Amino acid sequence: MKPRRILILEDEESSASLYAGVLRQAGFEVVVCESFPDARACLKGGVPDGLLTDVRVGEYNGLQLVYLFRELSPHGTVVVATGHDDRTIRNEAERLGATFIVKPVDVHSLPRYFA
Amino acid sequence: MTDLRIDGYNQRFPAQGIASSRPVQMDELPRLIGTSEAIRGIEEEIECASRSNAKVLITGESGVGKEVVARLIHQRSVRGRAPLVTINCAGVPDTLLESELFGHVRGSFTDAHRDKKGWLEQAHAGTIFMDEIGEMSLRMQALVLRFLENGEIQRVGSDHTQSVVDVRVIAATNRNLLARVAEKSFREDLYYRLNVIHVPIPPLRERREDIGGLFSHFVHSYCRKHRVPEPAISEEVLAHLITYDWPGNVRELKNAVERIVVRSRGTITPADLPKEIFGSRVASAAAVVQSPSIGLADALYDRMTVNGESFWSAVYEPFMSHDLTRADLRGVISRGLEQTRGSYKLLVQLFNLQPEDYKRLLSFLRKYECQLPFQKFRSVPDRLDSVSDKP
Repeated sequence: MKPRRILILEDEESSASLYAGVLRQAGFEVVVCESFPDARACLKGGVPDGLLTDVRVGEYNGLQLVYLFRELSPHGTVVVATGHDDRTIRNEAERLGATFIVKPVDVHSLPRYFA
Repeated sequence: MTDLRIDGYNQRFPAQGIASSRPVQMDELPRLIGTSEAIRGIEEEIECASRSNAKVLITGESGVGKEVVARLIHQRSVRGRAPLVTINCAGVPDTLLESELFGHVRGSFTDAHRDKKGWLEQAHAGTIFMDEIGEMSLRMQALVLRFLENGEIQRVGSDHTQSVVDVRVIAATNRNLLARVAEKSFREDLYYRLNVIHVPIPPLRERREDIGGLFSHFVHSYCRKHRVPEPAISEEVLAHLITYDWPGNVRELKNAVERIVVRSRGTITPADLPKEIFGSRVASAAAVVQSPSIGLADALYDRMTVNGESFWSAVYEPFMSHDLTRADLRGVISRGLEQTRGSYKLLVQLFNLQPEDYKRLLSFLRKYECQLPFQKFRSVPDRLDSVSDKP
């Protein structure tokens, strides 16, 4: 069976490689993007099964990627992981059907979201 | 008075910027003009934004068409039949902005004779377009941040929440907001709350392939407006237009086209182009502005009258950030009044302001003792010819 593919948008390299490592170990195929334009290009190249994104990604908001992803995949898994528990952003993420988690992320629980 | 406009659904689409000249059918909304990759990307963002309710931040230099993009998002969204309220946050004192935005109750200040609905309540079920959001004070930012959390409106002078409104917020700025975040003059949390969908619009000089299409569009629409036949345009003219850097972006192009169309005698040759465009192959407008041989007042004056920049961005902003002195401000006002023979009403038009900015401009000039007596300009020889050409 083809492994499920996860797209990660995270501009902090250490977090990105930590998430990617754990998810790869759990059998997922992972694509890591460190900027919004890269992630948008990746999304256009093929719709992943799941999305893991930060909120504050340079001049962009990771939720923009969630909106784009939702147009292509209304039911795909989305996890929004951020260091800032902003109620407005949390509500908006949850309205989009995303799981909102605040850093530090318990990385070992990550694969369960995408299972 | 602050700058406020409320549009109904059927309002004609403005000719400014990058909107199409095709007639608007019920099933066909205006599209952006241009073939560049940037324009295609912006179209995609507009589509995505109009299908959602997400807050949008539009960024780009003065004159790139930020308001046009905001209007397209509103018109194409499910809110298209509800009001679009447009406000300009620049130069509005805090207390006034707060009471205009949130409303006030009777007796909350000297002139508050009755309860008044704010812009946010007026925009209920529709969209509010907050232009020049980067100019908002930290205090106002805190109030907007709180509003974004739950949509609650508390009028000035009231001790309770008046109502909860459903308003979509589209903000725009020509500033680098992240730089303002870094210098702590713009709240980071507000930046990310407003910036859920980010639509950056690149300057015209970075998408020169759009210049020809925009030029033809404006020629067509101004010929129709002024009822003149469409002139022939030489290849050489197009080459000049494409080489020029357009520091005032689409607005500058639009203003230049109107002047060219009004003065045209059948064929447009390079000699008909404004001097800064004609000479663009040897000196860019920026170089002209920096040239020490031209006075600062003249340079600022040209930025407004030639490049189409507004007084708020060309003069007000640098003045408020202490890059211009009162003498500079007086210089540019004097230069303008010379042209309008003392008329402040015409000055508003000349400096690319809305008619409703008249009082705001005068109170700003009075505050900094830069309101010059109009009488002394009445005897200046006739220089009104180019004012009458302005849109």
